[in-house]
Amino acid sequence: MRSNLLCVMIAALAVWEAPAAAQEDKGASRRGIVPCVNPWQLPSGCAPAAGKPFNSHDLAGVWTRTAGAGNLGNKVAMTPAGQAALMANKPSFGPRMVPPALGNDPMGKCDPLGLIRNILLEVVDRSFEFVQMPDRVIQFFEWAHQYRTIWTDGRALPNADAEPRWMGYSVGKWEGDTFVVETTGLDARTWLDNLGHPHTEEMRVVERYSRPDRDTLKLSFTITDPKYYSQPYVSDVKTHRINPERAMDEKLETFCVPSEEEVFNKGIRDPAAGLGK
Amino acid sequence: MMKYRVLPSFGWSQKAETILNTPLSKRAGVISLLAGLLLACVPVLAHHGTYASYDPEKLVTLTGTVTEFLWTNPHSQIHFDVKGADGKVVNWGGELHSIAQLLKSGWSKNLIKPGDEVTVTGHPSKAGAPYMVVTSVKLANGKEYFRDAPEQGR
Repeated sequence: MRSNLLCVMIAALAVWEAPAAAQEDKGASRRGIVPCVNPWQLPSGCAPAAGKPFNSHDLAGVWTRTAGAGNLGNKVAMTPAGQAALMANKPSFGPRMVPPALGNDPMGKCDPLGLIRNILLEVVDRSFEFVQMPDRVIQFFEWAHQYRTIWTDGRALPNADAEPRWMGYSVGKWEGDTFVVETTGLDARTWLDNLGHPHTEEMRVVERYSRPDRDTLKLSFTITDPKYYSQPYVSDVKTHRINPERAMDEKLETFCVPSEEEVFNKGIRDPAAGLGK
Repeated sequence: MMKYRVLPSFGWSQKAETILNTPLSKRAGVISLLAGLLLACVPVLAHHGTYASYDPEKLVTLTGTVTEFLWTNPHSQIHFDVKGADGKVVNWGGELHSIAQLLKSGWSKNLIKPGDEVTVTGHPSKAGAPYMVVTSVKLANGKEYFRDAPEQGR
């Protein structure tokens, strides 16, 4: 949101007042060296709260991503079957993008996004929240108010023939200061990212979360899905900042309402692509 | 032919005259900086497949009368009648953000009503249809609401 905001501000300034733009830019530079009062503010040039007390095994809070890729990238090692499945998906992002009206992105109908895409979608203008309970961790995703449960009571993952779920079935445990979450049973109808990367129901995901200081949450994940991916996909390390002012239900009820999206698709999305009103 | 201005993405406008009247030595750096920053901004703005449907290189500004304002998730929409130089009225449609995002930018459910006079700026449909993804709406009272505006308290 802040980067979008910055762009809009730049555009507005370029249009209306060049001299003012020059002053604003100098102001931004000055702000960059002023210590951050609120570490969750974006863009954040301030250092994390080193030395402040925190519990590295407590992930509870609302986290906003500040660094890390929002998709798997364009050079993922795929099998021929995986490549064919990728080509069948017609995204509205990236180098293969088509107008949403001409694509088949499940997001366009408000279908559940699934685990990986929800994690990746929580870009700078959205957040997720962890709530820790004695036997489980709940992760709420802002987009469409979706959530997943990570069981921490020592139970095993279900058998391979278990009914698949949109968000999969997850178990988690602490390995030192890293919370390791393993997920299977993910419904193959979901895309992994905005670029349309597919997966099978055999996909296995391992996420690694750590909290190196009070304000920072690190995440990387590995996807293993040999039918579609010729080698495990290892993500970059994504950085999130805690965002205590941003309670999930404060103004942020970003449901994806199928009936409203249908009205939007008919009223704007389709005719904007030339499909007739 | 609908009468509207098409602006290059780096924000050239009637105010370009102001820039042109500034000595080159003072304005060149600013213009280069803004052009560069805006080029860098395009991928950031390309959320939700927006620029598969709309042309990020063009901006149109139209004044008209609101016929419909739908406050919905995950996209809101605005429709408005624009009278062309030939007197012909064309109904335009504008794509807007989700309710949550609009709230964060200072919009509200009752901000716009049918019958209101508005000046709408946005990137037009690549297909040439009378649709745009809205970047700002200026109301009759002069207040302008942007798609992405500073968030309060964040």
